[in-house]
Amino acid sequence: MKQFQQYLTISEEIGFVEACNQSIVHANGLPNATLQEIVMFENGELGVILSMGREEVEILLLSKSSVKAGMKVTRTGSKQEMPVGFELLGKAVNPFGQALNTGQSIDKPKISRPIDISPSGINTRKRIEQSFETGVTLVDLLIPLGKGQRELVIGDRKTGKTSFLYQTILKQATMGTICIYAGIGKKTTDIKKMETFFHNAGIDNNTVIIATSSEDPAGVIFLTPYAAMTLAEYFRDEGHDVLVVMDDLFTHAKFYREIMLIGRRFPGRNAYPADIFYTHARLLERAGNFVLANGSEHSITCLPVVESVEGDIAGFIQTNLMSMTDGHIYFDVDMFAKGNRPAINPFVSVSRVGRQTQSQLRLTINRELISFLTLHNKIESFSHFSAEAGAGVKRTLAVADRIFAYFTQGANEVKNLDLQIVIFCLLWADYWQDNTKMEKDIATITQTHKNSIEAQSLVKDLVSHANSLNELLATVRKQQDKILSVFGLQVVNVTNI
Amino acid sequence: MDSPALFDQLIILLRTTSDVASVLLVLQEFIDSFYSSKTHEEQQQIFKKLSPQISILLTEAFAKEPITPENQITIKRQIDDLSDTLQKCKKMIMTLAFQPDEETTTFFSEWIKKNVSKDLLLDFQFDKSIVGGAVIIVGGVYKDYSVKKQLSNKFQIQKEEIMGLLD
Repeated sequence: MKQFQQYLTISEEIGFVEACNQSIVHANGLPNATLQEIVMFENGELGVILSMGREEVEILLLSKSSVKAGMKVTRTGSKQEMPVGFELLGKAVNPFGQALNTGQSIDKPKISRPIDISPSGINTRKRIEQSFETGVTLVDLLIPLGKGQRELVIGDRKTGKTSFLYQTILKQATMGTICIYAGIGKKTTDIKKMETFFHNAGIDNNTVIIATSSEDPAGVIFLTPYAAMTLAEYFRDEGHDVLVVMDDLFTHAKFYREIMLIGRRFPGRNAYPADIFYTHARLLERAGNFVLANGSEHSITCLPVVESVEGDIAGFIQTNLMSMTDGHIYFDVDMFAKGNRPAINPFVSVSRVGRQTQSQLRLTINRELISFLTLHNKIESFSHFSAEAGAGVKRTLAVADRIFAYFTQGANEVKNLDLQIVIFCLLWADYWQDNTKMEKDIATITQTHKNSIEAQSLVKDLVSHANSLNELLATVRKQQDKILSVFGLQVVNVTNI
Repeated sequence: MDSPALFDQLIILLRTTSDVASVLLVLQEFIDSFYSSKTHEEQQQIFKKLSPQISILLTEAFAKEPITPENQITIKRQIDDLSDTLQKCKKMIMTLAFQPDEETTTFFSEWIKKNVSKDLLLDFQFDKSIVGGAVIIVGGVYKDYSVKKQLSNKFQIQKEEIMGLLD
């Protein structure tokens, strides 16, 4: 970074700080300054021009150290930019591409891109047609996602949102997608934990963490998701599919509110500035499925996270984000308390795009499961009278119990979707009568699938040749001896329910 | 006398921001005297602290007649208007390697009022590290005409030439 005097000599423009209110500075001078331009104070601190009046400019400070009235300020001539490049893979950086204080050294990329750009137009976009696997069975079967989709992850604190994000990143990074985690005003320990997880999982080469801690200046925290999206666009243009996780936009909105209130903008609903919807929408609009100049198709899938309070998903920011995304995955605090892992409520969660990317088999499984779970939801109230309940009700409750056990997934555990479909088929065909045996068998199947090429090819073969759940059930019935022997399971009669 | 006309006459006589500061201080003292037991003669003496030309001009404008409860509000408003206009005057910050004397100050001021703008005030700053010449800041525009910069540019060119020969 050049020094103040060098910038002053080049720009030949100077201003003097007139007033300073926390992170907002008013300065006179700088006659040819432009919006979003980076300025430098004489003590070397940086700021960005937020608005301009006839005789003064409003500057958002990008540092914590104080700026005093009378201090000189000059233009740098550059907009807010993020250094982008493959050098950042496996690194944890701030929105300026500098290493976070974790003892890493980074070869600074040679290319930089402006952080805040307008989203690409419709002529560069294409219908989402590729499936996006999260490694979480419940999501992949019930709330399927597509590559390029923007899916909101919403839920109270400590309901498993971060675990889900870990699982999704792990699955996608393993599949070759470049995953960018944007930690907005997070705790330093959380960022370190994420870094360690990526390292231990061996997905360093496909992940980047762009994070700011809660102690950083509000201006820098505000830039975090924009920087992440800028980096995502670079990787997309280089021919990669990208996943961007924004954790979380509720914090982002709160910091934006803080900046705008200090800047004396008129407060709107819940004291958020009037352009909060625009601010988030133009950020999320940068994700999608794109056709590049060379004709290739690459996507930026975005998982913005938002925290709900006391299970209330009807808050201002929450509903704003719901309306600008292609669906949401809701983590239910009551389901979490009941012990469901993941605590995703499939009835409140929505995926507006994912279904169009599903195979016929997955679509039929999805339909069967949704209608069964809806039925179960209706008759669950009868479970209190199980002694008097009819055989049909008892059976539905038992199957539902097994389905919930089947969906149960440990933290940081990702599952192979094809294998999950085969396991579901066995479950649906009543192969298991009790949960303990089912859990034990599923563990055996998973282990065998992991180690045996024969098992892997069998699963692939079964799933790729079936066009519906009924077809798959028929095949499983036909080949039950082979399937069970490959997976080392006990042979029993498999019947369709 | 109305404030704009007085300002037009006064600004010709004011050279630097410190001149303006002195005038503002005296005007404030004059306003304060409205609420004290000062006589008309004593009030007129306040303007004598300024240069003779400015003193005569301000005495003519505000202290010709005795201050009475009837005219004091009008005079105060006129002084306030004048003060505001003076404070809003554009200034040219000129950094020199020496402390300018009266003659130099007058020379620069007259030149600027003739060639640039009659409303522009000089704000001299002293920095011997610039060696000679001047660094000028006006309306946010920064121009470095110092000897230090000229020498630095020359050194840079020579350094590049030498490095070129070594390569």
